[in-house]
Amino acid sequence: MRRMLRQFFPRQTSMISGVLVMNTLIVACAMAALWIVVGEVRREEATRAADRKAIVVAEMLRPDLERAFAEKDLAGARLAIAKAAHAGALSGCRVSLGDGAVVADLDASAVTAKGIPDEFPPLTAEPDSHHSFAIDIPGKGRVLLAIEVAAATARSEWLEYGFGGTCLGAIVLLGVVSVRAQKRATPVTLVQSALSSVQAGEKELAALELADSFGGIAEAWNGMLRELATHRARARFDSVLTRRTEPGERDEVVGKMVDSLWHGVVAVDEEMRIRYCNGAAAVFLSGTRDGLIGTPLLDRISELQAKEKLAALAAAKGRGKIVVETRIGEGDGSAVLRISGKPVSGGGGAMLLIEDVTQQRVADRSRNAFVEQATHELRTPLTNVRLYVEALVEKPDADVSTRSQHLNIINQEVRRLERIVGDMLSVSEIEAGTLKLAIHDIRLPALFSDLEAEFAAPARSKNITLRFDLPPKLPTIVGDRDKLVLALTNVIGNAIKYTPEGGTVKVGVRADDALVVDVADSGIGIAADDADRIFDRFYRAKDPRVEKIVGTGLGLALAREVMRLHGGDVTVQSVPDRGSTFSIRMPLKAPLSMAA
Amino acid sequence: MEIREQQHGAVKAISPQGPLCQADAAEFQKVASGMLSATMGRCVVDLTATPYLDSQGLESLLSLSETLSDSGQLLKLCGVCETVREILELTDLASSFEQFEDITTAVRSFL
Repeated sequence: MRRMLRQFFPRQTSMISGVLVMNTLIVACAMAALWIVVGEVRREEATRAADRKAIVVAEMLRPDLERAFAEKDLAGARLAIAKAAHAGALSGCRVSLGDGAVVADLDASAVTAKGIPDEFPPLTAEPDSHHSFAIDIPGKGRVLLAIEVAAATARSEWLEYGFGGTCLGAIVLLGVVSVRAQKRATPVTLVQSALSSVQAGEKELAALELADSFGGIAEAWNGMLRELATHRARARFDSVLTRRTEPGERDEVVGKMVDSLWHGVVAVDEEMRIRYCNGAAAVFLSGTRDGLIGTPLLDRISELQAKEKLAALAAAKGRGKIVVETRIGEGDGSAVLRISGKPVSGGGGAMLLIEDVTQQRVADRSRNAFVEQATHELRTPLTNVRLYVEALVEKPDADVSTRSQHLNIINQEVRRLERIVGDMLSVSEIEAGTLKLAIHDIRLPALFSDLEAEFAAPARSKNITLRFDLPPKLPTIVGDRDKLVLALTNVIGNAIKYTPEGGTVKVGVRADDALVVDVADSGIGIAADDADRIFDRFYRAKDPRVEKIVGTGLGLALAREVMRLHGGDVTVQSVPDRGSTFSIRMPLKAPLSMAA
Repeated sequence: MEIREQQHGAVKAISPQGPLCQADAAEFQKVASGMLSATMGRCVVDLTATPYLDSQGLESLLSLSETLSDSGQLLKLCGVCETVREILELTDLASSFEQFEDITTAVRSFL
């Protein structure tokens, strides 16, 4: 009903004049009903009053008529009627005989009897005692007195007309007020009243619309309402669409809890379409949650084997839990995802847990390579030691120089083993996260002085010019002195090791915003292919000249790890056959002694 | 502002070389945000070379951490100096990040 009314009375009439129109209709209906009821009541009262008056007049006339008819005094009878009619304000009064002859009447022209007969014919119609009365005339019979009372009825009709007029007047008045209110209403006031209705709980948008005749504001308002209606409809649609995944507030809370997981959680249907995914899953699947819902999960997986396993799981062909690993993406942005899935009992589809195991797999590969390389590196000196020991055992009578040579080789190989094991232990500590820095103040001048002294002999033995370019003043820095020396020793040692005789090695030191040590040599250089990998553990450049020189391939890896622990790094720039420059960089921190 | 990048296995370390302030903070946030997106969150912010930061630097770190929180993670910081640590604690934002002593420990947390 309300909606139907709104179609006929949009807001420009509904909120102000609309109410008036409604009121008009209600008042009109009420007054019409009152008019009818009052009219009926008045009519009944008038009838009863007329009846009462007729009885009174009849009783008044009765003795006069009895006497006049008994004496055959026709004039007296007519006079009595005239007097009674005048006194009672009757509209009609008539005396007639049983045969219908009118003896006396207010209207003289209606009289049909010539006189009063001696005997009256009997009455054919019985009086009703309201408007007609029988009057007995002794010795002659009965006459019929009919009385009409009209004055009260007339007053009642006038009252009805009054009511009707009032009703019409009220309707006209309300109509006028409505039109005036409509003219006075402005779009702003109508919008205000609409907003008040909203505040009062009005939810029906059709009830808030304004007529377009109110101009731009009304059109904008109506446009906004239509847009809101569209959004509501879409929200209802979405609600129905996602009812199974977001059925209620409780599930929303659970959804937020699942979002706090760093593992991806995905629910899929029988056809492997994504029904739900949390934030982590959206990141792993390189999409947005809204964008992923309803899309096939298998489209985001390229490896065939993983696809087949997951498809079988979703179709409930596999009953138990499955675990697949698959790589997604390419290059630096690629990742290895471990997807664990289990079918949902009692219904199609499955729940999947996605973990990013990229770093684990990198660590596994690194560990395996480390073990493989370590085995290889340990085997070589061990084999040498075994062979020379066997030679000494088999030839107990060998000369002194041979025995001395063998023992020297054994000693070198054992020292080599010791270095390898030491480096491996350091690498293992880094790998295990147990290598900790012992932070102290480091006095750089003393440190470089020690290094210069340590490498002077090896450089001299190869006729290499070793030069330390130190600024006049070097600060005291904070770090692990032993680890810093380890890194510098490895880099400077490598520079001397891989520089041919007669070459130069320059160690430049700067300490501005960071400590930077550039170790430049005129050595064999590093090929571009090798430059990226020389910091890998056990990696040695594929250069015949390098292969001739003994080394473990752990030195630079250790140097870089140690410097990274300090927040720095080791980088290299090299030109094959012309030399390399290794840069050791370490951020400066305030000395502990100053901080204290 | 120089921003250094290091690869630790599958983990990227990003290290601002200097204070995280004003325009530098915005530049850092842009670079770090792209890296977080490219590595699916396998990223560590190494603050060893960051002696202090201002409100904008703090906001950039917080914004990065909030981005990660959508996928149940927090931004991993390492090498945080005493000044930065105090700033984080005074602003009651220390719990918005995962903090590690050094880069190796931070990288190991991805295992």
